[in-house]
Amino acid sequence: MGAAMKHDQQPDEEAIIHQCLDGNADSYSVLVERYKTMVYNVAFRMVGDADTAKDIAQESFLAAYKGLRQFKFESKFSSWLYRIVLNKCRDHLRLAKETVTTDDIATVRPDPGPSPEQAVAARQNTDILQRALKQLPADYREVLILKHIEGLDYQEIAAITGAGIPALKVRAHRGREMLRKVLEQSGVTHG
Amino acid sequence: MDKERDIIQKVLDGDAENEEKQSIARSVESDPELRREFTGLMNAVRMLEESERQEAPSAFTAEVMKRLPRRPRSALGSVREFLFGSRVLRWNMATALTAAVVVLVAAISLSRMHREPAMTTAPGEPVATVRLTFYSPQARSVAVAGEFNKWKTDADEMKKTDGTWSIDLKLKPGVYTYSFIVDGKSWVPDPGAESYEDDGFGSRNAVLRVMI
Repeated sequence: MGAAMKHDQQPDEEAIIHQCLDGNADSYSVLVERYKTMVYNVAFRMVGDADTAKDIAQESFLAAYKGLRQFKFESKFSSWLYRIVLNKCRDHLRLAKETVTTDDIATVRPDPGPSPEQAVAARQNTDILQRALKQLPADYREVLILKHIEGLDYQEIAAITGAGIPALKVRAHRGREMLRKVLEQSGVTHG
Repeated sequence: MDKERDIIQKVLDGDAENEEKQSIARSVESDPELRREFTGLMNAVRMLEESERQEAPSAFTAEVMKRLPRRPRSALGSVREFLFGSRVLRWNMATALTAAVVVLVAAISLSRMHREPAMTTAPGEPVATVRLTFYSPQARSVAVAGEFNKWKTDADEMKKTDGTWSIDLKLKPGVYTYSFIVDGKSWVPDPGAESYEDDGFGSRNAVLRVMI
């Protein structure tokens, strides 16, 4: 009747997870419905492609379900899902070699991008931010997504990524600086 | 200059003290280069924070559910499902007629017996109104079943307001065990209950103490 749950779980999540472990797979749909937008968005912002993001998000939910026994209620279920989807994104980016590494910062150049006509349309209709994010190293990109798009605090980001808070702040600092430069070079200085 | 850039980052992280904010405001005012950087950073953060949230594709949940591996049910889970799970029965005319006769006989017999209502409250007997609430914005229906309604799963449907389901029950003083039934099939013990009891099938029921 309204008391707070341990580890800030949504009130019914512990029971739902136990039901899934008990063989009631249908209960899992409640968790998928609840977190699909969150997981899909993180995947989309990380990889920048709707079809790939959908695949990664679905794979993440499947991996979470298969690994439910490893979830020990020591963190929020949502944090655990964030960790899984980010790992999937990292795997994808590593295989696709679509991202720059942190060591390449000095050599990052803006994406040559589309033709001027396409650029106008892109600016009007699509996500300039997405193209800019794509030019950031994955570990910078994920901190910016979690901090500024998902609105998490550094403590929760540390729990998700396993990195220390000072290191995360450095990544955020450098990531914002890179993003600013990429946006400026794309002509989007003042929004 | 580096110190000022560090303060700008603290501002963007939401960590800056008032004094630091005032100091950076003065620096930005007097230094065009710093102002340009500060504006660019604020713009980048604003774009992140205001970026449109993408909806997951339609049928996303259904596709995930279709791909889930089926876990073998635990023995206790199977017993619970057998007792409380919903199922489809296939009939032929012979079994249907037999069942109809059995139901008819049972109904006649029962109607002749004195049957106690689900909860008796004699006139003048003290009762308390107890509100049960359950937060589940995604649920399509939630009911409560417990000792007070003889574990009937359709006797006490809850009403939804802003994602929270609730029901007011009039109960005599006593101790009752109960559980919520989400979407007609998932038994969920009240997450906000004061205590729980094993239900004998490997799960738990919430415990409600009513005092006047």
